[in-house]
Amino acid sequence: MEYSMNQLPQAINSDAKTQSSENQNSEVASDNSAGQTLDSENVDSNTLAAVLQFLQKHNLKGTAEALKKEARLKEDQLRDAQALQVDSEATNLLSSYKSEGDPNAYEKAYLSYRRFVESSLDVYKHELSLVLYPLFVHMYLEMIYNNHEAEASKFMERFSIDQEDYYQEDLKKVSFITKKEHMKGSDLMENFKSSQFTVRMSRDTYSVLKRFLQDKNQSIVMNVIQEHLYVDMYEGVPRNKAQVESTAGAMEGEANRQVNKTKIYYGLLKEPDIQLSVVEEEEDGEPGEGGEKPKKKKPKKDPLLNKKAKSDPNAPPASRLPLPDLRDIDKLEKVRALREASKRVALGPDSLPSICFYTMLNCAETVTCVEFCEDSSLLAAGFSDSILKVWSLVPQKLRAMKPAEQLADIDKEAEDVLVRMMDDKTGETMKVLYGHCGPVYSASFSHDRTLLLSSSEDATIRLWSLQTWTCLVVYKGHIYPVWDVRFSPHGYYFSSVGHDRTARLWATDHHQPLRIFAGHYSDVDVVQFHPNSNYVATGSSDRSVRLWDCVSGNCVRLMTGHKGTVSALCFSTDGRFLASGGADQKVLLWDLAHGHLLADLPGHTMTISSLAFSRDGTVFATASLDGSIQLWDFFRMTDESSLEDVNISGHNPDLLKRSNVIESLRLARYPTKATPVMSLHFTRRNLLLAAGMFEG
Amino acid sequence: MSTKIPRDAQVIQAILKDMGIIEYEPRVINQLLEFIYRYVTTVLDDAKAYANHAKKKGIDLDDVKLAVSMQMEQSFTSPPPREILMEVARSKNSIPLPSVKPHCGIRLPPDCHCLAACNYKLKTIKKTLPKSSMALSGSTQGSRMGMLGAGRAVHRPNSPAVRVTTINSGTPSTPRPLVKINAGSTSAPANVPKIQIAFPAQPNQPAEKMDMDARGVKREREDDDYDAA
Repeated sequence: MEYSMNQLPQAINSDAKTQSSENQNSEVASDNSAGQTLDSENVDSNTLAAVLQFLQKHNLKGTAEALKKEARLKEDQLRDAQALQVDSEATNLLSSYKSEGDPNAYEKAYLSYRRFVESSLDVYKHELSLVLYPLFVHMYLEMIYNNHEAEASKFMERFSIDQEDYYQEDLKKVSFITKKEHMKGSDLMENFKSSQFTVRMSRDTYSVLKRFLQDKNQSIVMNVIQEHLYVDMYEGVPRNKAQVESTAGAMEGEANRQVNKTKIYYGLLKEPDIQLSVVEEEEDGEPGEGGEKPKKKKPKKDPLLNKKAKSDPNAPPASRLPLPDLRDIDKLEKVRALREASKRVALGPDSLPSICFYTMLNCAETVTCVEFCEDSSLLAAGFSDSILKVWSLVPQKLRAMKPAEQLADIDKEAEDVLVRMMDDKTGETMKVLYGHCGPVYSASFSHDRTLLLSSSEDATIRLWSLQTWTCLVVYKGHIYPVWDVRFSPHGYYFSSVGHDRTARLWATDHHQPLRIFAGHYSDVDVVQFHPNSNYVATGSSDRSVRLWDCVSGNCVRLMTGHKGTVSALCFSTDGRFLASGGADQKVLLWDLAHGHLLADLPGHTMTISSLAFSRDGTVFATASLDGSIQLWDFFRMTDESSLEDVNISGHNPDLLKRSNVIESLRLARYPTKATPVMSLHFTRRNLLLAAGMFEG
Repeated sequence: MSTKIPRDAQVIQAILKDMGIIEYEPRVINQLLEFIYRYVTTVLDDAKAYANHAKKKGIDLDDVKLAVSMQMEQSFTSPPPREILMEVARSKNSIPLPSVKPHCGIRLPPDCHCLAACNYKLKTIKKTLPKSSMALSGSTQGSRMGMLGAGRAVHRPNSPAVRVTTINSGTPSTPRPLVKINAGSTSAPANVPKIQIAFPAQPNQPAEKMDMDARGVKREREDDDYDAA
């Protein structure tokens, strides 16, 4: 059962922000009867203008006329007030901070609340302490808005160190707001005023809080809580410190449970039936088989693949997301992939993967991104001087397509027309791609290895052909640096994220994005597609991880818990789990079915740069800028935790945080000499490839 | 050797310390100095302009405030506010995903959004050639472009006549070649797609002749468009 303190204003706050803030305005105005001199007139006419604007917007002319007549407003007074209104919505919302209270009272109120938290029972203490941070920030902002700058700075100095570590960076930004004028321009301000900080509390904790507020007549604290906090109440036992710690950290508090209720299809798409044609059989070297069905081949494949043949209730229907049909080339590629998969090494605690590390020397710290292609034959690196280099990791060189006259000459019906169209004379081990105007922050290969996407600080995304080695399309849409771009596992779609706080879904044949995923409070830093291409996960500087549905564009999961920017994301091979790594040096494992935190893996000493799951889903590798790679036993990790046994209040009580268990799950740790690891990739045969730039 | 740091640099050091930045390369101070100088002069210039416009004697606080806010909107923009983003996203996401049409080959947006046009590069010529303007009539694939050197042009029946103007001579005149060749595209991935080359006016450039590298069907990426050598 959900209950929110702000039900009344929220009910009114359907569309018109002006009206709701006007309500709050009148509330506050009526609260403060003292000290209303010149201000009161302006407030009233402002309020009236706001109401009139709302009425006009909704074409309620009769009411508007009646109101004007009754209020007996002079025309110019109205116009002035309206001019102020038109100025910005910000003013309206900011005016919720207006109060005539005594500035010194804030400090007293905060202290008394803190004392209350410290003196309350342990059971309630941790949840109550979650309120301290938003309370502090909003009190500070109120003081600034009402021009009590000296008191505000004292308040900030005294209490900012009390707040949690992960809020210190945000607090620093808030502390730069020292004047009322600063409030209008600040990003952080917008976040704080437009959305409410979510705090999850059990019913008991909440009643304790209410009792305190009413008994001690804490009007200031009550006001702040009413206006700026959203208390997500749940039935059940209040959480202990560890549980509260685990989900705290995001810019806007924790996720309320409603967000994570949507059903998502985390299963993999059904593998299409590949009808073997004559061509493939010749490649097989078994001419004897006459047009046999894939079934004959199945015993050679992984037992995992056999399971996929049955319909997975959690898999999305194939028609949910429109995908291009498989071309013949794709089918050949799939067969090749399956054959490679059959030769795969089975990994486990006693059979660790070999790691092949590609170290880039003499880069002068200019490498900004490294990326492997799906079948591990190509390596792309983006540089801060806006070039992209592609290397071939296999003996075959990188060849360009023949010029048009030569192409006209080749026999199009030949078997190996795709080989013939490449010009052998142009074979090189490395090709350079020029085109961007700023550092290249991310690269992504398409599944069929013919296309490469790159994103850069110049706010564009470029599509390069790996057959002609030229740029094909420039996708313009972001207006700020694009931090990450990723092709979908099935090709055709790709997703990009950037500084403008949005993630966008594009298709290669549309010059504009198809979907815009807006909702993060700060830059979005990483993006990753789900193996079934229906969902996109994004990690952001607001320390939250969100899962978006490509078809509807809605955010279906919000996962908080990181205490620093999220810098790496990876879906598990079966699509059920999502691993995220952050600047807080932690790797968190999420169960997508409910959006719960499963495990918190320690061990790295710097930002996590890359995560990878083995092809059979048994081993999980994490790499960080501290130059080490850690291997974890993922099979046991997900086996041990009781995945179905979820507490009704919505959080998994049995977090895998017990250190002895965690240590036993770590299989190995491999440090490098002085090379921060930038990228990890498991080949089809379960060899782990890693790449980094040597910083000697 | 004790060097006295100029006062402005000391101010910057104090600002950095205030903001909590303790580690920085020494050149950062120089960069910030330059930036501050440029920013302040821009703001004051703008403020002067506003004061003049309001026919005031000297710069007022309001002028400076206005100048600062103008600068904010221009140079120091921030990403759009969250409400607007959500609104835009809502309207964009309400359009269902378009179905994927069957198509062979690389799926690209319409040609006007691609970089699929032919490359060209300029080539300086040593001897002067008389000015000429040629109207290119419809031609088959093998036709030559005359003065323009090797090239290939296919004229689409409905497009307007193509004018090829080459301006060149020893005199540094403004070259205004307008070469618009619409080529019908064939289906193979590497071919002569629509070629549209509009050369922007370039004053004071040495006489250059347009070299229609139509054989750049191979689309080799020229990193420098103007081969002045």
